[in-house]
Amino acid sequence: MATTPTLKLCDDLVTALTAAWSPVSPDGVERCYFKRIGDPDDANTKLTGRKVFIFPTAYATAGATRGENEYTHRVSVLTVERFPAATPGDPTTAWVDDRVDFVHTYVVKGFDYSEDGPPSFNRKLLTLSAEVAEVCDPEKLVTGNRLFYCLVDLVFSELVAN
Amino acid sequence: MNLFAKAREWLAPAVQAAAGVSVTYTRGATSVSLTPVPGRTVFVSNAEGAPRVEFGERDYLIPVSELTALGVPKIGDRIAETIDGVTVTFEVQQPNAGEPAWRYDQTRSVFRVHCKRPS
Repeated sequence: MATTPTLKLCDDLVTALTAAWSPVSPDGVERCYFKRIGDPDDANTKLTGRKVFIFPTAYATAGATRGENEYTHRVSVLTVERFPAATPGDPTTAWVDDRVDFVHTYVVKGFDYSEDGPPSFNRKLLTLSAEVAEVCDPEKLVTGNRLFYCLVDLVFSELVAN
Repeated sequence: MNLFAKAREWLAPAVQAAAGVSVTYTRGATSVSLTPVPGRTVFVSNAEGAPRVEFGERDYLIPVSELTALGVPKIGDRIAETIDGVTVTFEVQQPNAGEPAWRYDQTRSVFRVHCKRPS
């Protein structure tokens, strides 16, 4: 079990998203440091279903009180899914809309621990920001073998006892 | 017709006879049998920090005269080829290099069609 606060946060986010979303295999969510999203010929990296990968990106810490440090966690959440193989042609707008809505509902709003108070798993966690640079990467939709790809960069603040 | 053009005219059928493969080209409910020449097969890895997106691309050189039933290629067309005893299906898609999904050769007698394996 990882003990670095940022890793622990990522594990908590995996648990929270799993509970909220209830993914059914092959859909799923996991914490990782990197992820290969591969060619269909490679069974080890072939992407099936909708996958959410939670990456610990960076953190900073500074003394807040004599008893607590304030951690700033940077976490990236990647949602990926391929357009169904049985359907020829470009991904449809409706199909992309559903994935964009998923990201907004479960990642951007789901991990927003600000005005509605802290999450039950960590009473000293606060979401500072969520940035979605692209609602979906159009290059990967068009040239990346019809891949929906949305990366959300989240920043959290947490008071951690010394 | 100059000498170079004559050579080009001779070359395409000769390459097709030597290296052509049998495929089934499908658009919707319409399928046609073709003998294109497989072109390059490349693998691409887009590294952007933690996520790495990797995929293969395959090209086919299809004589324009063989695809008259369907006109020009179209994104979403499927090409089924039996490779080493296994039928593998590719889909016409835009390649990672930024080129369009298909283009003519210099003489507009051959289509170069870019494909990926749908998954």
